[in-house]
Amino acid sequence: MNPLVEVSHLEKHFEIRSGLWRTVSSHVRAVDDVSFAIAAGETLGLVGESGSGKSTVARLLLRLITATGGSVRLEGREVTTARPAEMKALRRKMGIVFQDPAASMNPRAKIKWSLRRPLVTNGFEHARIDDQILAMLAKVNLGPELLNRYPHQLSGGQQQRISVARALLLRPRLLVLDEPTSALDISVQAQVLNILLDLQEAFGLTYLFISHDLNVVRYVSDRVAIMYLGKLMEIGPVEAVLQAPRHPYTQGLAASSPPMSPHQRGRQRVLLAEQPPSLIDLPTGCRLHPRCPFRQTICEETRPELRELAPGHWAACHLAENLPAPQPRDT
Amino acid sequence: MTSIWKALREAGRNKSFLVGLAIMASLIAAALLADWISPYTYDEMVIVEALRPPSGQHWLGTDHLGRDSFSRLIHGSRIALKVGAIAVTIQTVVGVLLGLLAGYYGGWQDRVIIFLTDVIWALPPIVLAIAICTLLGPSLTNVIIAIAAVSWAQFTRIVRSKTQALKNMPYVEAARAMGESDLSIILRYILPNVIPVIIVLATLALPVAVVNTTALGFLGLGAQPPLPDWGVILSESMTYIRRAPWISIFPGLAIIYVVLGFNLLGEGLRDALDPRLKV
Amino acid sequence: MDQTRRALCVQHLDIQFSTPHGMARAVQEVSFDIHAGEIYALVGESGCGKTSAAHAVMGLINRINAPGHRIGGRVLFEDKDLLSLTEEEMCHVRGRSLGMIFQNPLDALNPLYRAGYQVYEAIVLDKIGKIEAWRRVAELFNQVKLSDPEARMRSYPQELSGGMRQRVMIGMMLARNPRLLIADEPTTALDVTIQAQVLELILALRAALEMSVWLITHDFGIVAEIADRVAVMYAGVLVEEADVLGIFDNPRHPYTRMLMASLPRGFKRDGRLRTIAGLLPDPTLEIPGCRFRDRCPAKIEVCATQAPALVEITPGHRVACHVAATVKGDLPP
Repeated sequence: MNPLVEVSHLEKHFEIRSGLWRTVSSHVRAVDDVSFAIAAGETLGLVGESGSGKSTVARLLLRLITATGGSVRLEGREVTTARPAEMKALRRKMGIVFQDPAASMNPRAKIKWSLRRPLVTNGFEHARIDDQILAMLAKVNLGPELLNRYPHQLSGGQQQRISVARALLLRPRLLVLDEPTSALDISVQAQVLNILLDLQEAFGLTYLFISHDLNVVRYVSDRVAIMYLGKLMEIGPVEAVLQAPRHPYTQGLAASSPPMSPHQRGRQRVLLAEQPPSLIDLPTGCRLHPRCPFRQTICEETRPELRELAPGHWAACHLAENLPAPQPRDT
Repeated sequence: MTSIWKALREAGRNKSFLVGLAIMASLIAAALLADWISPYTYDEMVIVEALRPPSGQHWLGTDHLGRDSFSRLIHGSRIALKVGAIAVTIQTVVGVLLGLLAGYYGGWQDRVIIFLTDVIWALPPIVLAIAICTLLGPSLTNVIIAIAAVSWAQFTRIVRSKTQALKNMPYVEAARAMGESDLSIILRYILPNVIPVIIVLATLALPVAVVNTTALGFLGLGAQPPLPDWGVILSESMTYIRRAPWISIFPGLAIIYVVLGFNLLGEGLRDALDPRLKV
Repeated sequence: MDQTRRALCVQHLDIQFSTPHGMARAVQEVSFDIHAGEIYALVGESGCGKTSAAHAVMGLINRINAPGHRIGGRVLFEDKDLLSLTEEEMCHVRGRSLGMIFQNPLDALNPLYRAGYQVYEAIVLDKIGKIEAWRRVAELFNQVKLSDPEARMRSYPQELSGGMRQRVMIGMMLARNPRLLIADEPTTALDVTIQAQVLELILALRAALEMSVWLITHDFGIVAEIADRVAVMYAGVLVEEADVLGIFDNPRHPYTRMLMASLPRGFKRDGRLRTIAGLLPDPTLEIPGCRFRDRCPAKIEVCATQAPALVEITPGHRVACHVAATVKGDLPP
């Protein structure tokens, strides 16, 4: 099966300028040599803590910011260098939903306006726009009475469902979800997650689901990618990566994630030490080594590449084969 | 745009806003109805009536040429408001456009525009205005150009920083992701959210423009006699300030009235539309 | 652990705020005890009143930030009713035996002073010598496991990461050996690996210092990780209270049961999550009967007329629901 999205050697370095002549004094390597693919119809969960570069990857995919290297292909067409006309066509195939539902719509415009804009700007037939909006509202379990309200008059769950509806109006193939439920209450989160899964089935959508919450990612994803300080640490099927992680960072992340039952309190805990280092002054070799409980000399010297440890399961760790066997987590 | 109307309703409960509104209304009425309100024309000279103190016949007295001071004052408000309004409109349009450009695009556009605002801010505005008027020659049109030229920078600075904050809002990113053009984003998504600030700034810029107009008129660089510009009246009356103080007192009070009115209005609007602007 | 000694006793706490639409009841007749040495979690979704309850106990609701508010009931702490103390007396309690940490420690630290000095200031009030006080600061920085404590003492708050700031705050609280630590969403702003470290620290300190912890949170994961007993709030009312295993394994209130079922625990193939239809009731309205009634799939007639009392159905397990004892098995959809 051909992948819908192919990301290869993607790179985003921000320049830090300082001094009188604003010369480049250092780089922030927000995303560094990241490669992955997403098959049509699947959900790739992208997990990382703050500073991991996961949201930067989302923005690079949609070309909301320009990459400093590497490529992003959607259905085989290059996104990073597409000319304006081609880019407009490519944008119709991609949608995005952000974390903060309250800030996701123009605060001075009614919901109706926010939903009409994507259709109008992409030259849809005016006569059919309102029908399309109503049909999409129904898909996210909202009624037409919301159309004449302003964003601040809606609840967080309603706002987020409108954001999803807006992103899907152009019938995209890929939907990037950047922490779509992190700002929501638990019961509202469940509502939004259910709708996302229903819509994926109904439209055959492909999701890139970004989150720091392993329980949510486990629930929605088919495959999971773990990022740390701009690098991909581990990627593979959700069961493998989250239940039997091969990379010490994933193990630490899984151990740190609060359990869903107090019965798991006695579980084996690989706690990562200290704080993550600054993105400007990255450690040599493996970026995790200062925090890694298993580090050896090689980790300080050589940067580990992603290696396939089991079919479809890749991890970037020199010691992946020799780590103590992780305790499987029951759910 | 209900939120602007809601804010105006809220402003309606604010006393200083209401006083400012009343003052502004009286000024506009005076300017529009000058021909009907004033008992004489502004340039009708009756030499024998010169330097008369206020009386039933001449409410605010007469000047050294026997012209009716009240009529000149009322007609003067027309000049003050017209020049002020045009100058403020120009500086608003220019300042907001540059601010949107600098804030949205950043990069070299931002650096060039910010350098220009720095240059403007480095010079005392009235000195710069005098220089421009001297260079272009005295006329009301040149006064408008000079005033707009020295005052656009504050609009640019504030609109720029607002735009910088807004352009990274998720709703603006979402608009880009669904194929909106830069122009559409600036006009449809950013500008409407900057408008409350612009309204407040423009209201507060008007009294400054009026004071600058009269200052330039006073120095002989703006409106020319016999036009009843308040600055012109003040400079003509200087010679007679001991014998006929009423000629200079009333234009002075008029200027205070304008400044006070628009500042009250602007502050009331600011509190209602964007309290964070309060310094 | 001494289960009979109480660290905090909240009785009939009632909080109302004045809004343009009338008085809003944020907390209604909430009563609970926190035992000595335990971690007691108050959980609920936004708008349930947990933060108002905590703020009232800490004396943070005042005429300036909430004009026209009304607080009723009693909060007993060390034989004093905290609600009847003057601001000055409350300051004394807050400085000594009652510690608090918040979601955003940057708001609580002064950006103009070094972290070490701020902790020093909290200690030096105790009339111990300067050198002794500084020694104690170093000790505390060690105790909260700040790496390189010497350097951290000389840092300004904004130079520290979120996790380090929270450690400094905890250190500042520990300086006075509090009997009770109130932690209001203490790790919400932190990354999970840092959150795990801070939770670990709270557990270690609780054991070492035998203090009680009142944890206010929306995150059931944190509750599962460290709480001993749990109270669930909904729309200003305490609906269920039990030990942590009781809440997770055997929730009795329909709201708790539906919340538990709405947590994502498994995989996509395990089926959809439970959702709770409807919205929170308007807090300005006086509602007869159970406040969860409109959203409850198990409601019966009496729910509309009579507010259920919080009653003990098994030892240590209190539920405020007319049908908690009768409805077993799965709730109807």
